[in-house]
Amino acid sequence: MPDIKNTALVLVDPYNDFLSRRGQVWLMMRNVALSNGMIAKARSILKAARDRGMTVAYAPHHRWRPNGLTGRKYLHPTQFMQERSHIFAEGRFGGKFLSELAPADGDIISSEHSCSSGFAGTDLHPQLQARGITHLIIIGLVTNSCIEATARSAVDLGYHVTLVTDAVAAFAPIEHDLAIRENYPRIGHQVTDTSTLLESMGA
Amino acid sequence: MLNHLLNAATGWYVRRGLRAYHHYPADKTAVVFIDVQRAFISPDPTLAVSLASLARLARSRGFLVIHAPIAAHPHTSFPTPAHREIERALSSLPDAPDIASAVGPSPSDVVLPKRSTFSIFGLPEIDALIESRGLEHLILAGPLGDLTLDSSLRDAVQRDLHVTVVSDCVAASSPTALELELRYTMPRYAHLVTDLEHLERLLDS
Repeated sequence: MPDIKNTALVLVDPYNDFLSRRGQVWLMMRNVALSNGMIAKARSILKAARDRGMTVAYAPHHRWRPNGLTGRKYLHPTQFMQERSHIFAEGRFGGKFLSELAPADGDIISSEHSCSSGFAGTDLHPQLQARGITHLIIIGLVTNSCIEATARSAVDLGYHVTLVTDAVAAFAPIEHDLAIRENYPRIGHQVTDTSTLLESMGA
Repeated sequence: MLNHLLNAATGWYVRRGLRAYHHYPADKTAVVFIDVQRAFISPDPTLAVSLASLARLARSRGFLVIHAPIAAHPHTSFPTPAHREIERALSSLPDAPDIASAVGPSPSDVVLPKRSTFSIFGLPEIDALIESRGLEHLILAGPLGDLTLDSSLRDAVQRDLHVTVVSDCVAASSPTALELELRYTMPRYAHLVTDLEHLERLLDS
């Protein structure tokens, strides 16, 4: 485990629409999230990080709002669906963080990402740099989209990236399984599970 | 089963909704060959043939052809297994980093400086080129589909570009990594993932 002062836990998109039983796409997310227990595991990592004074950062997806994507000429598939489904609607239940994984005072909450990477077009990088962060532990949603994209950007920006296979979830088990088996070990520096991570944190 | 059905239904609805984007004006379209270098192409003649066909198609339609090669030595404090894999391949032979002969380069092509990031947008030159040429449509191809093409695709759509991935001009670290990309991950971001034959039909229509 690197120096706790240089490490940040990054939570990507822990929204009610993904993780609450009343969330808009819980039906699609529940297979993976229930089978790997990602909510409880993400919560235990978050608690361990806070107990040790580790920087915690939130990288939230664009919340749907009227005309929120006005000016974009070519909505990509995820944006196209968001415009129609109003997923993560600002000010509504689905666009709020799951209470068990909610931010606390002192956490970084970056500006919203509109595609998939928590770094793309946001202030996440300067906020992490301002705290001298060099190492990231990335957890949340979705295994092969925003988590993987955030990890890819982080690597390109020079961070050391740890990915936690059972603190993430995807829309379908096959996407989750293939991503953690094929892509994570190639693009990440360390791929681990929650119990091993907590052990290395002394939790 | 339910996930499969929901995913399939969503995919169909999105593909239908995005059809209006699939026009490729010659002056606004570029084919980007990402890391089409000898190190990554030579063992796979099938891929080389497809890439050569795409290069011919691009030039015949007057599309700009951009080559975006990756550097042998990553300038990063924390190299990943992918970086080491790429470095090993590019160091295997003296000509391994060269652009593969299947795709050129021809005198009218643009060859970007070698970069060390996964994404081709790690260097400012690509953004400058897109802006100066007024490009809006990128057609992506390359042998490192799960490593560099995936990252580049995500960064391209972030920039509000219309992005097409040519499935038979993409390879990956393993057959399952390729399946993950072409069947599941890329369709969430690319406006169109299709093969050469269908792309050609679209261009003719």
